[in-house]
Amino acid sequence: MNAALAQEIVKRIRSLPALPVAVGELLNTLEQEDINVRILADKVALDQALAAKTLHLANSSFYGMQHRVSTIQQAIAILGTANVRTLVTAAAVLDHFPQSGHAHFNFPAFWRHSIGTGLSAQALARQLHVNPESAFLAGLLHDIGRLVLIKHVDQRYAEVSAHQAEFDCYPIEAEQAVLGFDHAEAGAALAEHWQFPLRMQTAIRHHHTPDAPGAGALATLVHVADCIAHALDLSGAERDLVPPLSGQAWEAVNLDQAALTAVFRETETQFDEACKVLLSSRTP
Amino acid sequence: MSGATRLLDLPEVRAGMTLAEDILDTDGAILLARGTPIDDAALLSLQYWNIGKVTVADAEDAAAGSSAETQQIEARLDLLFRRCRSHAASEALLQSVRSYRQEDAP
Repeated sequence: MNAALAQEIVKRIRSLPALPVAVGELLNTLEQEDINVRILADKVALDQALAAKTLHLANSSFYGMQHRVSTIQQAIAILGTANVRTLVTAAAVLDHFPQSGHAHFNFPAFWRHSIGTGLSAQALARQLHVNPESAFLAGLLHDIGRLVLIKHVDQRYAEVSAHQAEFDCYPIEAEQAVLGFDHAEAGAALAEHWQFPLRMQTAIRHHHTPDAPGAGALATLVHVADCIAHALDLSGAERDLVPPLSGQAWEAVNLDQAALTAVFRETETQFDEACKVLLSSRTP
Repeated sequence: MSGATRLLDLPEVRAGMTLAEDILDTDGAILLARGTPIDDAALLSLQYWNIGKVTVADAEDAAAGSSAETQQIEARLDLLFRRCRSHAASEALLQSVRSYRQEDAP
């Protein structure tokens, strides 16, 4: 039964519409540090929805511009190339998923935790001198499998929530007990279908199992960021739980108290703004 | 900060105390707002303005307030970490977040 359900879910993920080509191209530029504004503008302009989203972000009250921005190049200049790549791709991915409307799932808490993990991953990446943009996106999307599960098992997700409440266990334990399949596997299947960069696919698959062979450095980073976001209580969920932190991952990150304090502070300082920008960028 | 206050003559006021009432000039404009921590500079200003008496927050009360806050932080961390305390790294993360929170607490 469970194996059949797992197969069914993967089949449904593979039949989801592809990401817009332009989003895929933006994702593939993440590792390039010095991308030219014009090249980026050309990629964004390829896709009408993406272009609209970029203008909408630049014109959002958050950036407080006096005059309306009307060209993609201006918008990118205001947002910064780094923000365009992360915020615009994030917003495009998020548009594929509901923001509310499931009786047994706390969407606001989900998004708040996801954004918190993205920021924390980005702050960790800065401390460790690795690419902060990939870290942000991988952190933001690490739990995306949970949305896949809700979309595709719908009624049975009520059982997952009930199981979790009854045993006061982790969501991943409840998913495995009830569905025989969990959000890390579902997320990895989606990341593969959408041809995310390989490192991101692996990070999503292994964010709870960073010690697995081949999990990679990004999985380690996202795993630690996930625990930090829970520990900083960013989801706002009443009975939230910090996942067990892998000793190996903690040692690999190896930051002293001053560096950790910097990570905590940066995450908390940026949190409200990031929630405003990302959640308001959604197409109504 | 809503608790007991003491009215002191200026020479009795010490740095480290906290203002419990606004200090106003003769036109009623606020010179120093209620809740301002009194430091050496504030003491000099009070002397300069010829303020005779100052209402400060009771020190014990302020201490009680901060320990209540510490307890609240502690209770929340206990709840969040309730399932993972047996992992050494989780415990280390807890310690780290605790020191960070306490640093921020008044």
